[in-house]
Amino acid sequence: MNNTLNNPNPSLAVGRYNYDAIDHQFLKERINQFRSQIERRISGELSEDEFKPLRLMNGVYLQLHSYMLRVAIPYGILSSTMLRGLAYVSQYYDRGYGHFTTRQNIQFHWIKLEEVPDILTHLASVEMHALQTSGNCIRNITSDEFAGLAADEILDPRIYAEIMRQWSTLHPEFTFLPRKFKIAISGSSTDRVAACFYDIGILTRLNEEQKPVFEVWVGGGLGRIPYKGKVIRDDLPPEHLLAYIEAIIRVYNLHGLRNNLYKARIKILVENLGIEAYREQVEKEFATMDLDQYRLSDELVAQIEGSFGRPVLENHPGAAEVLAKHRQQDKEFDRWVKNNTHPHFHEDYIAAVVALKEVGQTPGDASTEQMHALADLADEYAFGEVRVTHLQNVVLGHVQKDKLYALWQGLKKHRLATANLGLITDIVCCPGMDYCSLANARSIPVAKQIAALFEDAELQEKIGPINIGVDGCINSCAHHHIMNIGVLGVDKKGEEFYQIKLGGSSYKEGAAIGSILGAAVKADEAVKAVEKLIYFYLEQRQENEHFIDTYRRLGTAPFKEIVYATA
Amino acid sequence: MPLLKNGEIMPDSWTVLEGDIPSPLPQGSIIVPFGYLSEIDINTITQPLGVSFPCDQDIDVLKPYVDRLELIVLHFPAFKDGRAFSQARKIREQLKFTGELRATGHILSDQYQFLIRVGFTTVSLPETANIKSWQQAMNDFTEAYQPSVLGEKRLSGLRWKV
Amino acid sequence: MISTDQNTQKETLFALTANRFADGRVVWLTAQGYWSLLLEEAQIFSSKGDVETAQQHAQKDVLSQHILDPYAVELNSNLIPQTTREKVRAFGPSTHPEFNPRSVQETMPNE
Repeated sequence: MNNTLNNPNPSLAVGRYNYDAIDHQFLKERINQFRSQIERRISGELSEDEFKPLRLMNGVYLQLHSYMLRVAIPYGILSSTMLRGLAYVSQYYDRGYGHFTTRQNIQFHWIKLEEVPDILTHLASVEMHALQTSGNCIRNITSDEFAGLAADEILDPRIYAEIMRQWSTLHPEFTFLPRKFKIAISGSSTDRVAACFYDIGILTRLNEEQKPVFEVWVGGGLGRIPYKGKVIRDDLPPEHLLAYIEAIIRVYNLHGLRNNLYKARIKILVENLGIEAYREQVEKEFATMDLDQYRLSDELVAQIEGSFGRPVLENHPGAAEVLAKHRQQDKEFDRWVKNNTHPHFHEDYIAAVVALKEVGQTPGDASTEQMHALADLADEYAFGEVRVTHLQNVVLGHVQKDKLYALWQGLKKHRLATANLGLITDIVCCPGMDYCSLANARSIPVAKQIAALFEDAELQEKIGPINIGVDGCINSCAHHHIMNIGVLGVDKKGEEFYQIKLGGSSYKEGAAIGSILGAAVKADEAVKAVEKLIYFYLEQRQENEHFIDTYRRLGTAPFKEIVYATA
Repeated sequence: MPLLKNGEIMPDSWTVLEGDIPSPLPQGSIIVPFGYLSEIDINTITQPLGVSFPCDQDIDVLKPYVDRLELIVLHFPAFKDGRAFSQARKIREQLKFTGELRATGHILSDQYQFLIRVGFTTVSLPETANIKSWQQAMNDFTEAYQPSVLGEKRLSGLRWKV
Repeated sequence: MISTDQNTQKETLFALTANRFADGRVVWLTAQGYWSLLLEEAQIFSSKGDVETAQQHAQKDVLSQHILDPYAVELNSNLIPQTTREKVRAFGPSTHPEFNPRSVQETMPNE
């Protein structure tokens, strides 16, 4: 698809929906409502039990040390203006940093309740909000970080993610669901969003008539009981997207379990009913709906799409040769290009991935200064567009190949040029018990210790592609269930222990839930165990096997023996 | 209990019958539990009839009675339990019920616009409710991002005038 | 009266903690009746009964929207919390030593 040759409106921020007066008015009303909710809480009209779900729906949690505000980054796209808005919040209302999550949100951990309406007002001025970043409602909708630039893309998923964002905003029927509800969408048939581990995951394919249709997965999820989802429909015409997901969620809202927090997600309902029975109920509901009211006509989609800014991609003959020359001249740059870039459909452009995973740093954290630097670099090299990934990194999507070296030098100045994407130190990590009130154990120190063992760049490349997720509790924000190596913190009488899981894989092709290796151990032993697993793999690997291949070939037993053998 | 309609407190002319239903029935408009409908011949009742419907049943079972009902009461056992929002919508859109749809139970004023947009017409409030908060909540938002049962005017795109 | 843990024979002490309503910060009940950001200033209870009584009294501070969810924390004889979770609450995130409440200077509105 070629959506980028000319930009109909250069004043629009690239890659995202730009608000109009109606959208601004809505956010203003929403903030006023929250302001009055806080007043009613202070006056005593609302009890804490009543207030809690209301504040959660505005993204405000009470964590261990303070309130936390989780701000949505719809489909992961930030303009440089939005990023500067976040930098402002981090500087003036927080403590100089923000934490990017695995759901394309950003969290501020040191927030004062009474300042929240002011923060939200500031965010609204840059077209951002914290709506539905928590609570038992439809959460921020995530998408593919290479949307709009991947060569295999059939349609731009961000347009449909935006449509779903709008439709799910304060949905009158679905704001008090049995449990939270997460949707991810990819515009290609290659799964880059972990679609089968979402409440609803959407992939796109071409049907026999070469028309795009959605493959809709339902009932996937992690948490206490991880499930791979099932395909409920593989040929949904995009025009019926809203009606169909409304039908799916209505069945869930009416029949999902509400008496047990751990059994309330849609995955349990789908599992209990069976996918055929669930599908039957959804189709029955869908058949009764006024499809005209929900239809995403070409005009409607074009209207939403028209509010997206597009990059003006021009031909730059010789750009690739310049990049090749830079790579030859600078080995360090060459390594970064090899690990941290992704092809762009336009041959003179490339996507650069900025890893927020410098060894020694907290995965996903960005300082105020780094946010400003990224915003400036995005303006200079990437049409002012910044994407955050579900693996806690950042993408600058449309970089001219001959300018990549200059971008890299700029990133390096701000310690943003770590060349470890997809390698062992690119660890996904939740905030854990350093911050989170749900956590049973700390995750950040464990992730940092693991990363420190493998800091050597050549060693990382020798180990090759691998993903590690470190979670502080079973809610699995760091996706430990579906990581090649998952580390899960558990509590034993007030002490931190860690379970290790092996063999998880996140994406449709080869998706798998990891198996528990053995008894939970203390933090330093868990770190040592990961080290043993890696060196054992290096010994055992054949040819160019990745860690997951060797694991699949050998099975769990030899890995278990290596870790638990009493020498 | 105060009854709220369009943001105003209204007199409630309905008598709620629970437990053992007296025979003969009291005069005037009555609300009976759903289970009672199958115990009697509905055609013998001449007075205005309403039904109180549980939140865990499929609304399809109301179909045989819906033409005879003037009022349906739906329950919120807790404000976080949103089943009645979907029940209300189905009763309006699928059963084409046009009578009074009343919400009862634990409900917050912050949910008032949601109630209205899925088809509720009245809310039965506890004595302690702050009516002002409810009146204010009715005007919290002047636009919404999804169609409702009210046939509101589409502003543009996916925005409707509330 | 001092309660002892039968297995270890170690003295168990208690402090009463909560999160402050306005900013969510961790606070500890002092002997003077105010809530401090510092565990060192906390009133130390030597029996479970005493700390539970204090917890009931603290409901007035819940009702006045000053604090949320007061509860007792077990301390060892060095007045350090027994669990890692409570250590992290008392001393700040281990990943950011500069956010230890002892090193952060700040004042709260209304105080």
